[in-house]
Amino acid sequence: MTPRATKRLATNAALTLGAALLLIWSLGPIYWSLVASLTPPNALISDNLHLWPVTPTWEHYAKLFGATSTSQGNQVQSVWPQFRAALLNSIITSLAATIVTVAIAAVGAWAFVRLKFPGRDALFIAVVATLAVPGFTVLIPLYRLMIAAGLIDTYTGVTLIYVSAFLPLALWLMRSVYQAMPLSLEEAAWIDGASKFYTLLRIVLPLAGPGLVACAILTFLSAWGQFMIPLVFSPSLATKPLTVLIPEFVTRNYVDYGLMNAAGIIAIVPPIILVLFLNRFLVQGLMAGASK
Amino acid sequence: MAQVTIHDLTKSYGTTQVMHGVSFDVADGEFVALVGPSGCGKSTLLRMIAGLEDISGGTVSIGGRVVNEVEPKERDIAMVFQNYALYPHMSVRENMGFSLKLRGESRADIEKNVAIAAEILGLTPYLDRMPKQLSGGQRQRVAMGRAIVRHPAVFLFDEPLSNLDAALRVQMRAEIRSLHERLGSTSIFVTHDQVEAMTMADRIVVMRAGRLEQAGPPLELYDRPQNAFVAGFIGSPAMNLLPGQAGGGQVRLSADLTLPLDSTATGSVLYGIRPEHLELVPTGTPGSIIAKVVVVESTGTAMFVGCKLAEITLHALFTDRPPVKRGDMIVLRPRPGLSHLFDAETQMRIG
Amino acid sequence: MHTLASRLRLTRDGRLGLLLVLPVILIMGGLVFFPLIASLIESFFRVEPMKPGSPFVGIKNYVTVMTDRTVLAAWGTTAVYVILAVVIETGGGLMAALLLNRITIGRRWLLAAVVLPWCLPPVINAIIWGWIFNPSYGLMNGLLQATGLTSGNHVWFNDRGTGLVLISLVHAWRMMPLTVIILLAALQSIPKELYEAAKLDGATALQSLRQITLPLIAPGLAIALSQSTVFAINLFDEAWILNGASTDTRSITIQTYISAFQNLKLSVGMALSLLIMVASLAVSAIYVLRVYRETRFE
Repeated sequence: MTPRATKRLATNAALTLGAALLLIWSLGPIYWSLVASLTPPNALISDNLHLWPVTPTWEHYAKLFGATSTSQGNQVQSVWPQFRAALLNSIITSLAATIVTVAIAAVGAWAFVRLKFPGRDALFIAVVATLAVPGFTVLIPLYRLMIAAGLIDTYTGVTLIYVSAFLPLALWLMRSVYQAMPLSLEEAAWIDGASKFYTLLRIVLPLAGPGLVACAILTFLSAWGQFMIPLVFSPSLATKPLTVLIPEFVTRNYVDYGLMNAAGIIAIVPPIILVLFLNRFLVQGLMAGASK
Repeated sequence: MAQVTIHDLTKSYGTTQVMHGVSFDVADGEFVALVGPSGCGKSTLLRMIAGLEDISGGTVSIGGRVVNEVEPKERDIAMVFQNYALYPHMSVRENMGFSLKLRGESRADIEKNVAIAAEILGLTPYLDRMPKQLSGGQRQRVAMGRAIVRHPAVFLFDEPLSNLDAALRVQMRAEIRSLHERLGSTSIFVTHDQVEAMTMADRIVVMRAGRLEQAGPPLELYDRPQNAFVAGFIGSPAMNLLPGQAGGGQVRLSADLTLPLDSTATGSVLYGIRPEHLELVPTGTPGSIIAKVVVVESTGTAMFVGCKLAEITLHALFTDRPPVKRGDMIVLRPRPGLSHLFDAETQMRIG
Repeated sequence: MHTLASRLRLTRDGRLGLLLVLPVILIMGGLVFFPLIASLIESFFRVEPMKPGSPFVGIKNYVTVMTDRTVLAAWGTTAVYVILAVVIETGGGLMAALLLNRITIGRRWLLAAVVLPWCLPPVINAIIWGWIFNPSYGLMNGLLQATGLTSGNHVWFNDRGTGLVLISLVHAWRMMPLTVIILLAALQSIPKELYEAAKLDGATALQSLRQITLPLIAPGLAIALSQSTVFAINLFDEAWILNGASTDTRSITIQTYISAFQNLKLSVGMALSLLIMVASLAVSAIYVLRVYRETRFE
């Protein structure tokens, strides 16, 4: 073998090894949680370490979805009612926040880019600057505001707070999408006789599709994973999402690791689906959001 | 159809004035080229006519009506953009019919008008394709089709050929011109390429730095440029412009070089002679120059010769392939009556 | 005459613009800017639901949060998180980005796998890792014992140092993808010709990395660093799930939550959260001004 070929082989081996390590680092913990969720309770607390489920069982999932079971000799109450409520709450608040945020950002960002109105730049800078404001800074007065408005523990209240938290990033993202779009397309539409708003609807928005999808994914993921906001604003199962409910499984009289891992796996299914099918948009969105 | 009148048009961004009182007319049915180096304001001027840029001062009239405050869609104009600006999510048919649809015309009328325009432009087989499935030349045709379906009073072209390769550009040049003959519409065509302007336009408007330098038929600009800028800009290769001192029917270009002049001008001047107006003459011919050849470029149809005498560089163009090579000493004479003279101070034509 | 008319036309666009951003103004104004100002004002009062009245107390709340031992300890803890997280994320993220930049086959899917941790709810991440760190049945003890590195079960969070490292690790596991993406975007914007030119000039791979890659991705690195820092300053979920309110691993944001919502000293919480905001903004500003500005080449 020539020295160059040897060197190339060594490079490829190193790259493959690096890729394998990166995969283990990124996916290993998730895999391990999946294994735990499929392992029977008694095997979970055995001393033997198995890297795959030796006797797979759906029992933890069955428990989540309604089956009553015995644990440590006691009849355990089904967690399905709580789990169902939290799952629904997560879905409703995340979807509502996503739809509202994307709608406001899609229209607002276009106005920031293409229309001249008084205070435009100052407003945009102020809104984007709030990206650096930690949630807690506004959470405390907001808590009192929400109590006064009777919006604590309501879908409306939680959704509104999500929107206010995720709107700056969405606006930033959509603005970069519109800035990259050739102005001449819109000018051609004006000359063709379209009004500005009609141009937005018929020309701009259809072409902003990938950007809107990226924006929607980022907003949905942020809302789906929120913990601090619902911890404060969703005290009861009326709006409490999975992220707040699942950790509470720990603080019952004992810790059911199988159940927690199974619940965790359910909670990460939507993000995983998004990454699997829409990762191109997601990565583009992240790149656009992160760069200048 | 309509005539377009530009009167004392100015444009400022904040305190920076970029256009300084431009005025000219475009007659009904006339094809006018706006030409000038990049940044001269020609595109801005076109966009002001289209209504895409605000007008800071002066007026734009189309068909006798001042349109300064009229929305683009109500100016009865169509525009072909440099990047074509085809709607990527609409088929050729939808692109061409979009303006008619917005106008609320019936489906049958839209269909008919699109079919006619497609026929004229040879686009009939492509009506159901999307823009990205078309070649550059086809996209260019769709952009024109989108303009002609509306039967506008005025066509505006913003450097529409600059994204095409050289061969296609020559072909489209002829097509646009013949389309213009056929439709008889008023057209304003922006380009930075003076060859395009010369070959296509009835009249050329030369601009520089937001000012109109000269307007007139192509050959008038070539034969009698009003100033040194137009002299250098129109014609390729560019005119030789040599500084000198005029007086007594002569111009002194350097200590030991004078040329006869059919003008009585005196003082500092720019002496202009086009490369194609220099001829090879026998040694000793009165009014001739002896120069050393430093560059010879041959394109087959013509031969371009760059030569030097002292500090002066001269370019000459021959079509009869004289046996000249690098390093030769050659004798050149400006053909009588074809030289130009400009005032060195004002750059204006004096003879 | 026409100036008046053109002003009228401007306001037509202006009206549409204002109309379209009205939702932005209402939501951001009502739910962010108004509370922000309220926070600023009320941090100078005593706002505690358990005590009657809310008298003006000047900078007392600020003095409290800068002298209280628990709060000071929480600042220290957060500082440790920031240092550890930034080091892990930047080091690991740079290596991962360089690797991804070299890999051509299946990069899209590898990238999807790398991005995944960032997409999951932080709380679930913490639960997943909590199971790995479980003293009795966790993978970590299991692997260490199986390989004979240790014997016996470690209760990892009994030791403050270990706890801080592990929480930082979990946080970095989630946030590293962001660094990877930012750096990968920066790497991909470097023209290949530069490396080819350097190769012809005789540069080794390491020299190419130091002389070409690092200077050219410096702006991206600055953004990544500032993101890592700001997110680490605001670390909450991981520490809260893995070790609860324990003072060993209590970050400054957990301290804020406890002050405000458990001890119900709302105004103290506001003062604290404003200081966190100032810290975050200052970090962003430093990175942006020092690193980003100085390393722009065009």
